[in-house]
Amino acid sequence: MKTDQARRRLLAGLGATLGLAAAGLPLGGSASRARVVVVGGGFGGAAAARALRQFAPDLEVVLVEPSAVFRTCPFSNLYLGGLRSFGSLGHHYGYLQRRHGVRVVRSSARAVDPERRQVRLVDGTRLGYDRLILSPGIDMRWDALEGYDQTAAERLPHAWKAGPQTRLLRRQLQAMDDDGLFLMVIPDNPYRCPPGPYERAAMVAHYCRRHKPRAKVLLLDAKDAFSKQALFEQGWREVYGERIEWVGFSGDGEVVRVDANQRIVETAFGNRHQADVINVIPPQQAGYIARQAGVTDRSGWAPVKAGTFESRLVPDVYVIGDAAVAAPMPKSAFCAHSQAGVTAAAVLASLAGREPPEPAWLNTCFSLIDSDYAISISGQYRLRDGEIQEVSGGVSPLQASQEFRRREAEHARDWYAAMSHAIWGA
Amino acid sequence: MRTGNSGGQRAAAATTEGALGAVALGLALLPGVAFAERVPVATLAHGCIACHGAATTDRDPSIPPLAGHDADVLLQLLRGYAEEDPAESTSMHRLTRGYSDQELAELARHFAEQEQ
Ligand SMILES: Cc1cc2nc3c(=O)[nH]c(=O)nc-3n(C[C@H](O)[C@H](O)[C@H](O)COP(=O)(O)OP(=O)(O)OC[C@H]3O[C@@H](n4cnc5c(N)ncnc54)[C@H](O)[C@@H]3O)c2cc1C
Repeated sequence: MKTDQARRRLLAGLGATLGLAAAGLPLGGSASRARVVVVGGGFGGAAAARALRQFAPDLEVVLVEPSAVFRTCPFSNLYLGGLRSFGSLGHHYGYLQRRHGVRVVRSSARAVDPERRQVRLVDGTRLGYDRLILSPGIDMRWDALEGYDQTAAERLPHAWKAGPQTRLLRRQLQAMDDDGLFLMVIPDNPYRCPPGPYERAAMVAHYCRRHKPRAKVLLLDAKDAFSKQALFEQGWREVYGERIEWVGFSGDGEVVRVDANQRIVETAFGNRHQADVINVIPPQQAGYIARQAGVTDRSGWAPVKAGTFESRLVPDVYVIGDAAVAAPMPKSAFCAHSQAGVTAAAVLASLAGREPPEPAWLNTCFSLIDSDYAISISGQYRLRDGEIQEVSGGVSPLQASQEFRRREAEHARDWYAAMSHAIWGA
Repeated sequence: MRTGNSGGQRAAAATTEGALGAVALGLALLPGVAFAERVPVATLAHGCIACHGAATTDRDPSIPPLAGHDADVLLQLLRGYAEEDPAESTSMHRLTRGYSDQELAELARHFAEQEQ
């Protein structure tokens, strides 16, 4: 009984431990230590590296990430709106390294050799792995929208990866005329952060209310419906009146061509819109290394086994976060973190030669309409008949008090603090 | 999350005990329990800490950290969320309905055992 209790305490949770040296398991040769390499230090990858070390303190975990500072897309819309500083979006890897024993290698993975189980870095270094987790996020599809390539993005920023692009968009917004037009081009599903464009519209409107009183925000969308639509439309109207206009696919919202020099976009039916600032969110695909590793299919995303997120195409390689096909889970930071926990457990089970434990995933995405007004969508997901299914969930009510919306705005801030702490913090 | 080092040291000692250490998030210690039947509490708790982590601000957070609360109180709260849409709840009831009662009890116990 007593030992039982002691064990229970030991295993109590995340801070505690799950010995890796499972039943007679020789891990990775004489060192009896397995090595898991994680590529990408964003929400999925950094969370996976940390979870692995927490669950199995003996495991060697190598995290490959080129940036010294990770900038979060979450809350980058608040930066655009003037509610957050750019600095507040940055997180370092110091705690992961020093406190959690993750070996952080500051480099980019250039290639994966699944036969030899090696990751090759840009400097030529080869890293052997027993299991590999890829969480590289997204790349833009530069061939998908006529006229929109990397050069065009310097004039018409996407700001869909947080960093210089986000600052560029903010500068353009600040430099815009008082009665300027801010135009956003929004892609069809699937893409990173389904409610992200609509939160951005609200945050841009928030900025304009104060600094560009006569400016308008026009959204040209390649689809006819979007996440939390009724709540967004209600919130936009309540807070910003007529400032934000959304045009869906049926209203000729699909942009098929852009002219970066003239700042003009053209729709499927040939309508041309000129604007002062154009934010083009182009179609996307899994990050380069996932494509190089052979884990993606023709969709550009990585099909995975539902219970573990092991690649369906390459054994012992797991893909989590935005790069994976995880529907009905959205491509969100919350989901990437949740998948990291489940996949860390699955990787450990696999190393121990066991069946993976039963998974459970969560999501909650908050969207700010105003500094004291947020809405949210949540879901819990389980494996049912071999597929990922939502077992509970919902969105904020359409009828709610100001106090309710204010509380959700506070939740959003607390979520951001807790989530970044759980991943990059002490 | 545990603060201090003692947990880590104990943990390290335990894992070097070797062959009996188990991989599986608690479950491997319960022979006979089929993996497929239960979600390990560590997996469940990983979901919670995405919002309910350590207190990171000075002010009272609108989302409370869960560590160190009384297990019964916590369980009662969770059951309340699961059973209805209490006016107090913004999103908790949407998520809580997806857990079994046993899972809620395990979560409550799990967080009660953690240091604040
Ligand atoms: C404007 C906006 C707002 C958002 N708001 C929210 C929100 O409020 N809530 C929410 O849950 N989600 C939000 N998201 C979505 C969220 O940003 C993503 O879902 C999340 O970042 C996905 O995590 P990931 O690990 O897949 O990718 P990322 O977090 O992008 O991490 C990928 C990492 O991999 C690294 N990498 C890539 N290739 C290599 C390589 N070859 N070698 C080494 N490293 C590599 C990159 O440098 C990067 O650090 C938002 C997104 C946007 C654009």
